[in-house]
Amino acid sequence: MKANEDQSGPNRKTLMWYLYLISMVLLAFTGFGQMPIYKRYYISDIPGLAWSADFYTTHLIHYIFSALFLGIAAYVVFDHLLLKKKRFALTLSGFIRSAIIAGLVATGLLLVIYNFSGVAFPMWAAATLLVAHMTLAVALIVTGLIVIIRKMPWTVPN
Amino acid sequence: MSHQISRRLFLKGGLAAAGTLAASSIPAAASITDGTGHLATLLDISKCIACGACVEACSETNQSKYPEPEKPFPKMVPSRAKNVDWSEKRDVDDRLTPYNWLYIQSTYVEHDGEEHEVNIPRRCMHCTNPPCVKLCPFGAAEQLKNGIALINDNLCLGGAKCKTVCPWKIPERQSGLGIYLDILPKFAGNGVMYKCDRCYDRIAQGEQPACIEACPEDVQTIGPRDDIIRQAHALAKEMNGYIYGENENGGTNTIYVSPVPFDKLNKAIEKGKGKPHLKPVKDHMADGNNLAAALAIAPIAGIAAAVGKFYKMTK
Repeated sequence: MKANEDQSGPNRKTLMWYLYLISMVLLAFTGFGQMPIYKRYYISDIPGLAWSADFYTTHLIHYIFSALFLGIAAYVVFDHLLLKKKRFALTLSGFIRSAIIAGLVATGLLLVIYNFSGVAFPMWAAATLLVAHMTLAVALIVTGLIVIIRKMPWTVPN
Repeated sequence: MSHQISRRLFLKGGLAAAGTLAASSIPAAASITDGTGHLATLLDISKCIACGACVEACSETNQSKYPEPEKPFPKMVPSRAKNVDWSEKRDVDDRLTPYNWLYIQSTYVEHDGEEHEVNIPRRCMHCTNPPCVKLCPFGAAEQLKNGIALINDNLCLGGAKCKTVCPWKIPERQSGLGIYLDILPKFAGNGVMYKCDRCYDRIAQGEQPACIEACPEDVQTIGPRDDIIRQAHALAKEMNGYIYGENENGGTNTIYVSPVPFDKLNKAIEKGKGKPHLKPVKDHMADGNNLAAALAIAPIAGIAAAVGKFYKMTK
């Protein structure tokens, strides 16, 4: 077994890992950019970041990287189920991250549906959904920082 | 407002409960509002004489909904965020303000060799897919089943994103009240946004919006959107006129019919803060919604790649 092959999924610094990282960073940046904070707090004044104050632009970028992220997530999940499940087990931190991501995907897809013409959610439902999506994003960032600092893998050999 | 969430109750709500609700209840609570359920208004602006009865009726009817801010306002940080105070200028009626949700744009326009005096009641267009509702980051706005776009003053933080994304920049801010005062008043939020709610409470009781009821010239008609569109086309044909609002921003529930083309009107009217334009407007939600197809295709591509790899390795 080569170095780095004692883990599966996004542990390895593959192209997939970098795409995952890029999509996560841009999803977080454009996601928080849905709140009117980047103009107020001068983020959009930083050269090259003027677009961050345009809600329609950040909305589109969020969708584009959501698609990339969903593609990666589907690949990693099926790759694990088909090829790696027998050899690798999900760690506790991997399970927590997976659960948070599943929550983000579920709430995110509901928000995509909400944005279609002809779909209306009651105010309490839309507010709950948005707060849940935002809370899960913060939870994933915090969890991500902890696992990076403590070098905790997603999976370990059986 | 019985259907609204108390802001303290909302703040006290547990996140676990929020997550559970998000996962389990929302699909069941979602409703399809397209077309049949929406009420639209038809405004025959050839009839409007700018008497101001609608503006007055709107003000009288909605007094109880107007903001009563606490002063002094919090000092905003950073200073780029400015407090906005209309509470000392409640009588302003020549533009939209938190205390004036409807005003009349008046202008003179020459068309077909004839000079027309045109008066246009202006307020929220109540888009069929309203960006102010759909893009509010806190879900503080709602589209009712009858198409009315409504801002919840108990939940709105006053960040004004609704105004930024509104093609006509309709909502107006009043600082010094709202949920932001209970959170981080200096650092996040800045009051509450206000705009026409098309008298949703009167409509719920089977009454007409105050502006429609008060009009002595019967400028406005309200009814199911399909009927209103048909009436608008018939009226436009009859007067050899023009329609605005049917397709703007993907369609609105406010349909204007005018004897003068709207591009001429748009050039002639006074535009600016609180004074919306009459330009053609593309569907602002369309680009994002068109990308939603990519969200469906991407996981299929991911699964195909994983299955392809599995097949290659097990062959």
